[in-house]
Amino acid sequence: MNDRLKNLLLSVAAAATALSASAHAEQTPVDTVVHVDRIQVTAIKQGLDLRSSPVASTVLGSRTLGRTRTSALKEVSELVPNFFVPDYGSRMTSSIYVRGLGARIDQPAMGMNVDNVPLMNKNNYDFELVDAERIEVLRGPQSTLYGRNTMGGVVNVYTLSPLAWQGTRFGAEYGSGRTMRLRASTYHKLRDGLGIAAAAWYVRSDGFFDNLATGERCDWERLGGGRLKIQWRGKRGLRIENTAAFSSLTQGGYPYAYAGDPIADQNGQTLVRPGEIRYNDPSSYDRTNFSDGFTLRYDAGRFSLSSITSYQYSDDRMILDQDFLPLSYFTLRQTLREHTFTEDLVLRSRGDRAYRWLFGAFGFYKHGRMEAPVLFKRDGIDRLILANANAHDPEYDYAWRDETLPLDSRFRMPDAGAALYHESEFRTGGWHFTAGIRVDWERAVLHYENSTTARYTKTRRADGAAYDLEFLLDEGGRLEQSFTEVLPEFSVRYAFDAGNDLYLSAAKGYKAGGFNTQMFSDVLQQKMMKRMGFGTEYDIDRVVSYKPERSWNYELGGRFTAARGALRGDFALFWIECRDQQLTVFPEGTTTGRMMTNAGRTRSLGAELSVQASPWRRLDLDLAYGYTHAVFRRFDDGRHDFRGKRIPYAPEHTASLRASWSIPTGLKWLGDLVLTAGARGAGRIWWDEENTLMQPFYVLLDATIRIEHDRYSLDLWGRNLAGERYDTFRFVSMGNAFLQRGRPRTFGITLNINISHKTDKP
Amino acid sequence: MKKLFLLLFAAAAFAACDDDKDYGTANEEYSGTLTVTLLSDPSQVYTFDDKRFSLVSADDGTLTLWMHETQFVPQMPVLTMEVPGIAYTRMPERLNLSGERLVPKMGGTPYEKYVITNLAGTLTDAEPSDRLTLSFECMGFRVAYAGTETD
Repeated sequence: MNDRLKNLLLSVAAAATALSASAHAEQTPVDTVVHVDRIQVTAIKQGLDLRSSPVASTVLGSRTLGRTRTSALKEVSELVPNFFVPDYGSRMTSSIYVRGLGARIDQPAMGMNVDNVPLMNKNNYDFELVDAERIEVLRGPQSTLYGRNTMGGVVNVYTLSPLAWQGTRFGAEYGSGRTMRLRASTYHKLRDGLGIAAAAWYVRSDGFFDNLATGERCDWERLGGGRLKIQWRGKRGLRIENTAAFSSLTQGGYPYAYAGDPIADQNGQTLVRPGEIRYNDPSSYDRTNFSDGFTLRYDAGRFSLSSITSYQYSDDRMILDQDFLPLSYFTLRQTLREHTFTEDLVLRSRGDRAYRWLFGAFGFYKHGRMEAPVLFKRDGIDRLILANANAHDPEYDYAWRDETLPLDSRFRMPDAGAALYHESEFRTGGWHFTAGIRVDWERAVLHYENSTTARYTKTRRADGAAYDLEFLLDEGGRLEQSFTEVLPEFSVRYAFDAGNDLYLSAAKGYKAGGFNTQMFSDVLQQKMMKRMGFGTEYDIDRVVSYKPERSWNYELGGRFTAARGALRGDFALFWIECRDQQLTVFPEGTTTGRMMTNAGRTRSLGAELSVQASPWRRLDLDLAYGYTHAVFRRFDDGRHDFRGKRIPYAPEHTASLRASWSIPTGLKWLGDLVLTAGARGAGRIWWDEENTLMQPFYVLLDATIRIEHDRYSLDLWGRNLAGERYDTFRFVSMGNAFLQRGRPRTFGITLNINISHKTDKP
Repeated sequence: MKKLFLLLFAAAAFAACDDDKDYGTANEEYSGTLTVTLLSDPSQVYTFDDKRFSLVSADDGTLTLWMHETQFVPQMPVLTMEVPGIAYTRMPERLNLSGERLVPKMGGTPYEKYVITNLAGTLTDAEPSDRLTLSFECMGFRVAYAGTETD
């Protein structure tokens, strides 16, 4: 090594050490409580200093979250490389795509934990991030520590601690779409080691998109909630934390615009034109949540024992005009009530030793009841059922005797799972070797009941003989499947110094198996067609059951620090082989529906780069870029072979560039003027397996003028300032194409007030 | 197994209490091979494996044959056909089945154009499973079926 390089590395090491010391004001081992920003959390499974872990990660701290006014996970999209959370449908559709992995329905590819408590239903991922002080996005499988549904990674959200900050905060925001956001929270230290925090919030919005059939905005929402957090930290190593949260949501949602050729009625009058949102039946989403997370931790000299217990209750209702047209085809009214219990026990070594270990045991029980009645209405009966029957049968004319056709489905879903896991880390010099393994077992059960009544008349064309027929169905059954997954991980890391390292890792991830209840309307339809004399009856187990999806992630990454810490960054190159992918296919034979199966194999290759730079004292630059080349290696849906085609919905590129310039006003009471400009983009995004429809790369420009003071901040902001027109979702229903446009140009003003009682200087 | 033979002694009672029979599910179901020959060109033969047929006794002392999800040529839609009025005669260890001209039903109504003629067959009381063999003509096809009782 030449002297110049040696000097550079030494200066980088010194700078990184200084930076680390300032960021982590309390130099404690990573397995104990640490102050980072203004959270005070127990790093139960992994250290909060993710820069020393062999994982691709992005940490958004309180300053970034404040300056970007992040209020939901969707707003983190693209700030993290290859992390894409499209905003479409309703708050129920919390699809996350990372590195080409993702899912529109059922099991997610990304897990989410709030203050160490795992959210077990992805329908609940989209919630109001009130006083979130830190968001970690860990990319790549985290299955050894977190288990099911983390093959793409994990998002950890930590909220403000009453032991780290005491005071009262108010927030008020008003913006386009008559969107108003109100927050209030208070943090108190009752006595040494005991803190309590209460937060409440309310959000309302009239929405941004008009439904021309009703003449009203369709994506309005009202959301309210509260949180109570109690933390106690004893002097003998015992810590207790309990967080209870409640929220209630009602919203319209689903601003789906028609994207096909104009549709005319029988008189030739145009019913809907391309680009119009025009559907006649009501659509909405309501959700009530309650959760309680109880964390207990005991630190002994050489080890710590932690217990994370949670109860989660969710009650949601989705009402959909499923044809999204000004015609009365059919509607869905789906309600799901779910109770979940989780328990995670973690025993890990403490101290700064060469060998560190962790043992864990996890279990959960989830019980859900769902009702999902589909109601065929006049147009649906005439155009989808009778038109087919009459075209199919030259002997008879079919006529429906009722105005509607109900297809009722009711489900009870008790699921349970258990896991044991272990991770060992050995350090020698700059080398860090990590190996881990987890054994996950899960049993999924589905009790189903289907019923329908159809009354119709067949009239023989030859002689007019009429037959009144009735089709009654009331049947039920039980499906069960269980699976065991062994999830290993290996990594080796070499730390050149505190700010520069390289790592190589291989890890297995999986998405749990289960049952696709949405297929039951197809099952019922096929059954009815068979009773009418034509069609093939489904094997229900085969149609609705799907098994786990598995992936292996191979990764080379590293971090770098230069210019005395003024330039920091990380990079990763990844290769993911995904097998038994959960996909929807057309069954063999002449059935008209679809079925869920483990039919696919995909490969995802890509690269990620994050850079934070402070080239001048008051200028901060943040860059995040991700590239993914994700293709099907095997996927035949029964009609087409999609081998070599890009995987839909996951973007090829994500990019974000943000610059903040702080200008001292010179007035103590006013603080700094912070000018922030940002651009974020994503694309290309393919919308179909054939890769015929695609959203090109688009860029959204944002800007904020902020007055920033310790006690308050005032933001004037604008989003999508160039008015970029882009699609955030596109799909086909009953042969008709629909899309959702991204939000238009929006403006707003945000005021935050922080009345500090006392700040603990760590 | 053997249930149909036993039940034929109490056919009326069976018919009265079998709610499922209108929908083509019977207690006696067979799985076998369907061989279809075009009468106008006997060189054209189509074979379909794993086809499910079932027999149900009726109030009038005849049998009803259900052909589940059946097609005679690949281009034909999959149909579930009900063929009522099949006569039977009891022989040692077997039933002989026959029908001169039978109008099948689909979805609960008769279809004259699919009339079945020259139906002949046997239901053999065999171990380990009963065997059903059938042949008939329909829509210009000669149809032969050979199946064994399913559990």
